[in-house]
Amino acid sequence: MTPMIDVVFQMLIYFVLTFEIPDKMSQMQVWRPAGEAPKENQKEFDPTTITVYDGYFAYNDTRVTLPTLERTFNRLADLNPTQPMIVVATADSKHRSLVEVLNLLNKAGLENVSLLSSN
Amino acid sequence: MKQRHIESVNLTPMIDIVFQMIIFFVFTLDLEREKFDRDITIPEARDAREIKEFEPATIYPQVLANGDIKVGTAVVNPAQFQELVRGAVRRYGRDIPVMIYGAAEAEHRDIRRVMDICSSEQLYKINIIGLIEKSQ
Repeated sequence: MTPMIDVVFQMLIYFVLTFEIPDKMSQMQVWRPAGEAPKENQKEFDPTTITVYDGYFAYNDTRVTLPTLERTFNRLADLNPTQPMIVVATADSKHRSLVEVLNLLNKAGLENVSLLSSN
Repeated sequence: MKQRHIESVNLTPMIDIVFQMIIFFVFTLDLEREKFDRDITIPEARDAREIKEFEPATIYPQVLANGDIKVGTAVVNPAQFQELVRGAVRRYGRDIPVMIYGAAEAEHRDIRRVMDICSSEQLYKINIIGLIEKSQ
């Protein structure tokens, strides 16, 4: 019996030492452009564009803060939660800023999000 | 004649408890943790949809703050990553999920490089991973 107890205790020590509580993570779904857009759908919607720069944001070319964006997203979601939203991230913007915008879009319930990249 | 009486400790309850602890640890063993480098600080996204379960056939590219791409524990170059994505698409089809685990301080050009590789293999639906709560 002694060898078995030895092995069992070694397993226990291994599991105790390597035990980690996993981080709670979230996911934000975006669509990437697929080359050419279907022409017949081009006039059907007027998408809203949010641009993520290095350190600031713009909503339809107007510079805005995150609280303003949040209020705007909530208003848009009340009107139509399935409307297409376009997020444009500039090359030198930080990933953190993009995730802040995507988080607010998800919070408002706007999940039809396309992500474009610009230089 | 005097009889010798040997007293022995009853080990059964201890073994019971130890086995129950092992069963607990085996069942809660997080096999997913090797997918992500815990040294990468991902941005917070507390209001997005929580990930309850990781699908088995998923591509998890990690983008480090310096722009390096990591898959599992290995740093790969863009060509290797493309080969990996191509292989996964061939095996599992174009519905395979892509979940990007990007460092908060990474620049978008590095995230874009990963997304462009996925798009070149016709994977247009991308998931970005955020942090709800970090474990202690």
